Amino acid sequence: MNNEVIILVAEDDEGHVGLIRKNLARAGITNKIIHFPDGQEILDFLLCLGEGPHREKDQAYVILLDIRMPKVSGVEVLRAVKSNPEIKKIPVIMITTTDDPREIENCHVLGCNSYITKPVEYENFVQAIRQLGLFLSVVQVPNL
Amino acid sequence: MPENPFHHTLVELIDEGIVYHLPDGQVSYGNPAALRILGVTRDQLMGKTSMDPQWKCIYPDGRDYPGSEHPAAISLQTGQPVKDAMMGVYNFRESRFRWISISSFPQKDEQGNLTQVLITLRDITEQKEAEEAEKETSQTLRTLFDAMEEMVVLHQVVLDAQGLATNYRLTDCNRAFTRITGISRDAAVGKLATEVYGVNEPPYLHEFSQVGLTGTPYFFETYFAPMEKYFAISVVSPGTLTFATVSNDITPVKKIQQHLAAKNRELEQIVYVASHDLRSPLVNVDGYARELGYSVDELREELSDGAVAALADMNESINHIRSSAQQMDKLLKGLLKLSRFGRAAIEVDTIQTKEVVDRVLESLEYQIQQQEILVEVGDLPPCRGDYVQVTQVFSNLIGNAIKYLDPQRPGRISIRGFEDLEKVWYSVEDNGIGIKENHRESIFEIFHRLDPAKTEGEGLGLTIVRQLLERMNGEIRVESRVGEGSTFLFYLPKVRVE
Repeated sequence: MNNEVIILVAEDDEGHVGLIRKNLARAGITNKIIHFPDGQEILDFLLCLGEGPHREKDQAYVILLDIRMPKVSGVEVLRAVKSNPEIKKIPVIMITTTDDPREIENCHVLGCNSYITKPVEYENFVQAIRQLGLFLSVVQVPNL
Repeated sequence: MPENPFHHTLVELIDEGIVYHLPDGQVSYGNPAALRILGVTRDQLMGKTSMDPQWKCIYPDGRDYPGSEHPAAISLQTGQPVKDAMMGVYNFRESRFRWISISSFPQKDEQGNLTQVLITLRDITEQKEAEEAEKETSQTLRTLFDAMEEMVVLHQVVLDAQGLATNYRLTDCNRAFTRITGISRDAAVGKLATEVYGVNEPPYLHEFSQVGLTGTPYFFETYFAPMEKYFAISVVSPGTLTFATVSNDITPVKKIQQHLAAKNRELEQIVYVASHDLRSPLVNVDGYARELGYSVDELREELSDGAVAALADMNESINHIRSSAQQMDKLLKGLLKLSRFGRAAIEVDTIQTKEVVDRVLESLEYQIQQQEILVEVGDLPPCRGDYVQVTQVFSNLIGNAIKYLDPQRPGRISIRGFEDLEKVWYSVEDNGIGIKENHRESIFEIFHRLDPAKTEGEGLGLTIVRQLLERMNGEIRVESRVGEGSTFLFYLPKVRVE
């Protein structure tokens, strides 16, 4: 059994992905990261559909989701994950540019585990990523 | 003349005019009432006939009333009585026509010969004038009725054997009804609603019959599908089981409102999406500038002194990029915030303004104490509004008053309110630095800031205040003197007293 948690990042902006990678590394998080450029690809991965890579049994995952993505939005991915008994225990963290309270509320209602606003002020972002690292080390990530 | 003394007294006292004519037509007697009605003296009347050219008599339609058609003349000629002929007689004493109802009664001796003709004159002037006035009033009303822009229809509730309203009948309608519905008056009056509108269920039967049954007026706005029109309908009951509807075609207004609402939603959506999507690249601009900064720091350790100087330049460039990205982000956040206020649902309720202001002051207590500001709170009547948003309005205005005080003198802020007929006015007054006249309108513009170097802020406070007040049917204005202070004056709807 592989206990090393894999971080799944669904994010359409390559730049943001780079920043997330760099900052996770700077926060001391060295877990494997798989990047998906839109909501459809991460859903295919999780639901074992299509020709791309698929989720493995007995592997622990954490999902970082952007909200605004082409094809399938982050909110829809969140809804699909949380309504599927097989994968609903995977922690989902929304990382997005909006701090609209209604959007945040909506994500919490749908069952997201954490919500991080992508701040332009970099220090805040680093801080948020550190908290995420802390979160990842504290939260019990279930094996599937 | 009456020979019996009792009859004579009676005839002298009676209010009805009585005149006796001899068989040759000459008047032999007129009682005081007759003299009064005709406006003549007894001497003037005696010996005259109805044919006398001095009489000026007319029919009700204004035609001359010839003496030969006078009831007395007819009875004299035919020996038959005439009942209730209506005649206008010019009363020379009063210089006006008096309207009389004349009856004539021929009297005969035992042989059947005409001995005299007695006529009675009943003065009906007042009655006729009242009738005419009423006719005139009703004509005026009818003219107004037909000239009205609103459709007015009178109805009668139709009840079944159990006393339940099942339908209603149109009893009258004005021209606007025909103009708007295309249904002629003939096709409507006297018909049942179901027939007039060609439907199975009489439209708004419940609402309408309630008014007819209870007499309580009712007002509502509705979309009437068969005509594809919006109406504002006011229903009143002029009498039991009757009701009148006064309907305004508000379709054009509704169309404009819907169009405006759609445009507004569109605009807010654009602002939301734009500011949201625009922030995304900024995350990269700022993020990678910072990464560059890290690289510069790493390089510094390994490079020669000359190169280090170049690195300082790079750092400066990086700082400019980052501060601009952050500035841009602030603006976008501001836009997002504003669009969020514009989209937030409002719940209008009675607001205890005094409590709201006390809470706002409580949250600002630290600043007020630190800066030793004297705060006066006057009478603050309640108003109608959304609790959160009214709080926001006071919070922004009082916050601004504190922010723009003059450090050269002790700060003073007073918050007061008063009511007029429809509105509650509130004022937030300070003795701060004041606002130049040419800035008084622009301070409400988005991102406008008078002195960005000296004060913190995103330049949104007053824009939000104005937007919130507009959404709650309020308005704001400012009065100010540079160096003396500013007063922000706004109103909100008054609490209705039921």
